[in-house]
Amino acid sequence: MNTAIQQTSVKTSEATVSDYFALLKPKVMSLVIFTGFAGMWVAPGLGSTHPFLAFVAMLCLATGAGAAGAINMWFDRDIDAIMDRTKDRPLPMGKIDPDEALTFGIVLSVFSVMLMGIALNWVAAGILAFANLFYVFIYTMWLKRSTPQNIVIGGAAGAFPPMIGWAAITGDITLYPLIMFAIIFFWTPPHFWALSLFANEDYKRAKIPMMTVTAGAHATKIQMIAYTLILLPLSLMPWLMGFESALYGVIAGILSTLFIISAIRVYQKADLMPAKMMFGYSVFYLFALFLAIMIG
Amino acid sequence: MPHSDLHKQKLKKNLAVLAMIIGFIAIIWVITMIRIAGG
Repeated sequence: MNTAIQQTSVKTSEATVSDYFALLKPKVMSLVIFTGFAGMWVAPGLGSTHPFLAFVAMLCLATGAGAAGAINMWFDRDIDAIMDRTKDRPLPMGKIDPDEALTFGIVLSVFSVMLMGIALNWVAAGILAFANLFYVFIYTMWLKRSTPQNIVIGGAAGAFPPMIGWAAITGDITLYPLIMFAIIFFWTPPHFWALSLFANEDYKRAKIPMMTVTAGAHATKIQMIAYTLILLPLSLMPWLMGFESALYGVIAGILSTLFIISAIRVYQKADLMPAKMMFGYSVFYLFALFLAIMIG
Repeated sequence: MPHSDLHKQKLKKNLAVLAMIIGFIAIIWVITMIRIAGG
């Protein structure tokens, strides 16, 4: 009995609060919070929503996204240990017991959905639950290890936050949140493939069928250009459809054109620097575009 | 008994869990008050 208790103590002894925080993928969470807030910001009726409830909606969105990230890390702990980019995460480092990580993720996910439903509405809660389930079961457990289209289809999970932010305020989904969804959906492949280009050896070692691994760098670069070309008219849609001002249109046009140029530079150069630059720019692009949506 | 690093680490974790529970209860309480007030 004593031995069992001692073993349990040793098993969980190294986990600190910051390890649990790292399980939530804080960088991804910041993007989710920002795009979710943009969806909430442009939703009609924000002014008549109690500020505390709006805060709770953001908290639920952040916690839900973090919970999905924790479950993703639990499931992927075997390949995370192989990849240089992820080997320092708490699970492959052995800092957190896998069962604890899974429990942590499930509890946070359930709580975030329930709280969203109680505080705001069940439409937003339902989309949050669907996004989490999609990320865990469709992307993490199925697509990621089975098809080069993993992040194309799986990217939908990351595109839900503006819809959730919008639905938290209005209780429904209209055309505008769907456009925001589409922007993130088509942004995801060039963003991830830029990363995949310079982390290709990692993905090869872990046997993840990323586009760069299965189809090669050349084919991936062509597809990256194609997605950035789709993003140009798509990013202009909020202005063309009258949701945003001409100022937004100008900013979106410039940002998307630069994104296309960065994809072309990746295609033209054999070295990895343009891919690294494009990855960095893609993060800036999404932040800047949604900031433009908010001020537009 | 002197506190070891393990004790300190577990105390931090337990305090974080306590803060989360108190925070959750406080959030539910405030939501209830807002709902009662018709918000």
